Amino acid sequence: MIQAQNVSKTFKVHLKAPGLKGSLKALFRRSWQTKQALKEISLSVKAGEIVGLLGANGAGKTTLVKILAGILYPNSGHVRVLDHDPWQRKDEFRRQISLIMGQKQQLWWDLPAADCFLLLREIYRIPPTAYQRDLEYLAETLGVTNLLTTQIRRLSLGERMKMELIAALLHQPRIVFLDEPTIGLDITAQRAIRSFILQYRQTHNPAMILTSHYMEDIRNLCKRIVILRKGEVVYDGLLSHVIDEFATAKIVSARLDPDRITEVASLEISGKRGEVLESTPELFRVKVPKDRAMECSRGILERLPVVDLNIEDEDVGSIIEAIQRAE
Amino acid sequence: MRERIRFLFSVFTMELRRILSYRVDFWIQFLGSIAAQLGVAYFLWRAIFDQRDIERIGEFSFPGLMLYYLLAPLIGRTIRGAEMGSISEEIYEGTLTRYLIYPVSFFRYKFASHLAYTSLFLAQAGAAMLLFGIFFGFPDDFVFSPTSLFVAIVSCVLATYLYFALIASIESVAFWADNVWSLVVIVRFATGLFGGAMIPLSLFPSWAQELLVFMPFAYFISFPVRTVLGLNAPEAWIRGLLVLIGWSCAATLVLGVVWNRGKYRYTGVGI
Repeated sequence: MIQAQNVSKTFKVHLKAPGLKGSLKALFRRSWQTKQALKEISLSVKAGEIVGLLGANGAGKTTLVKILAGILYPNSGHVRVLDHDPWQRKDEFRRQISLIMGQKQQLWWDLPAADCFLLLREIYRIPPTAYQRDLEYLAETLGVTNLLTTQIRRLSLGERMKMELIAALLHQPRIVFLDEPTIGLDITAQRAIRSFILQYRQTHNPAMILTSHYMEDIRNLCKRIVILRKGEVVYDGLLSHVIDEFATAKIVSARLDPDRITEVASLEISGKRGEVLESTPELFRVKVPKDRAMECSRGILERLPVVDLNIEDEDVGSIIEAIQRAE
Repeated sequence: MRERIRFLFSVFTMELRRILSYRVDFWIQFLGSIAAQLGVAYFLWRAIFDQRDIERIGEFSFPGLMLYYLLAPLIGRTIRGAEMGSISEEIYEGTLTRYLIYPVSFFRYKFASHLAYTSLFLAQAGAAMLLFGIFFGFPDDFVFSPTSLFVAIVSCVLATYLYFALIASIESVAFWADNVWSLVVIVRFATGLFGGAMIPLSLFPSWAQELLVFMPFAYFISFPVRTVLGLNAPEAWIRGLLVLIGWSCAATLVLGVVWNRGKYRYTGVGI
């Protein structure tokens, strides 16, 4: 459904020196910098897939989403979405896609959500019966039926986001781009939105691309992730494989018997290459290189009064973070 | 075609609902602007008429001039429609993105919402005229006729489109310059001065009048007002409508070029 091949995009950015002097200078002469936002990106997404697009700020996630949605045109490369060139913005294409931007309001601020949805019904030419049925279903699932007649600007951030979701899904798009849909929301609202997205995926089978800085979003929604670093794809594969491929350390945790403990020789046990994460009379946690996990565990068992020992993988979020930072 | 009209009507009614949801602003716009414009005109021209001890200036008696000053801002506002800045703000703030995602034409959408303002101001203009007639009566130096009223309405429709296309072209410069506020203010000022909102164009030197006939500004205020008041001859109607059509075609062409080039520069805020 989504095919991108060797997509590159550059932006020309105006630079201005700080201070009044810089502002005055910029009045007469401007300096520009060409910023490569995407470098030869290739990507494909199938129906029913939710692909998590990850990357640090400025890695190119939003630029890629905007290109796939037809808002930006690529400097080079080929993009086909639902057999269309997104940049041509044919109505037939736009009727089948949807873009939700957590940081950008798309509904009309001064109007109640119900009025916005009525306009969207006309924009997408949704038959009245289907519109009524879907609106009821979406509003009820998200628990916002009683808020439909409230002005958008008077809703809370979470409620607004739910309305944005309804607006984006009323026409049952086959492709959904979710750009940080849970940003700034509290845990309950985040959970509600995540479970709603999963439910929508189950019932409608769209292709979805999700960008988010919240690992919980990624863990709960995406089997496959694409990690971008400085405009390049550095990983494209299953989330579960990230640990196998990139984890360099293991976490060894030992629950101790505080009555029998004498001294915790933490550095000695973890070795020079290890990092003590926690060291109390009850618990000793250490992060050690993968190949030293067994040796370290043995050391702990020999020297400490261990009640329970556990060797686990590093948190996937930390691994992804390290990949993003190129560590 | 039917669906397109239904969509435009939806945008139109939605915009009306949006405007009417701020009633304080609605009444201030209606009463405040008329009172300000008419008040300044009254004191200025009363002083001129009294000091010079004259009955008429050009083709206007004092009550006639007041009626002109009532109609000029009302018709001007009707044609100008939505307040300036909405298109450039969409580009600058990145909210244009939603119109690029929705299967609609951005300018069709904007024109429909422009018409919502236009129709509202038209209703205000009608109400103000009626009140003026009831309280002061219409001066007898004007000849009102159904034909001139019809021509005035046609010219208003064309001028509404022309103003929209002109402003949309200028605001689309925001693709390059980000902030185009001062450009729009210049156009607005030029419309006020060369359109006849500040001083009736018939009081301008004759060489300026001859030049302004071929400029678009006169058609946003002076031309429809003079046509309603029966001050324009049939030859002026035909010439005026032709000039309007010419400028409308040119503005449409310019808008198309600016939009087609500008959209390549749009980033939707942030990269």
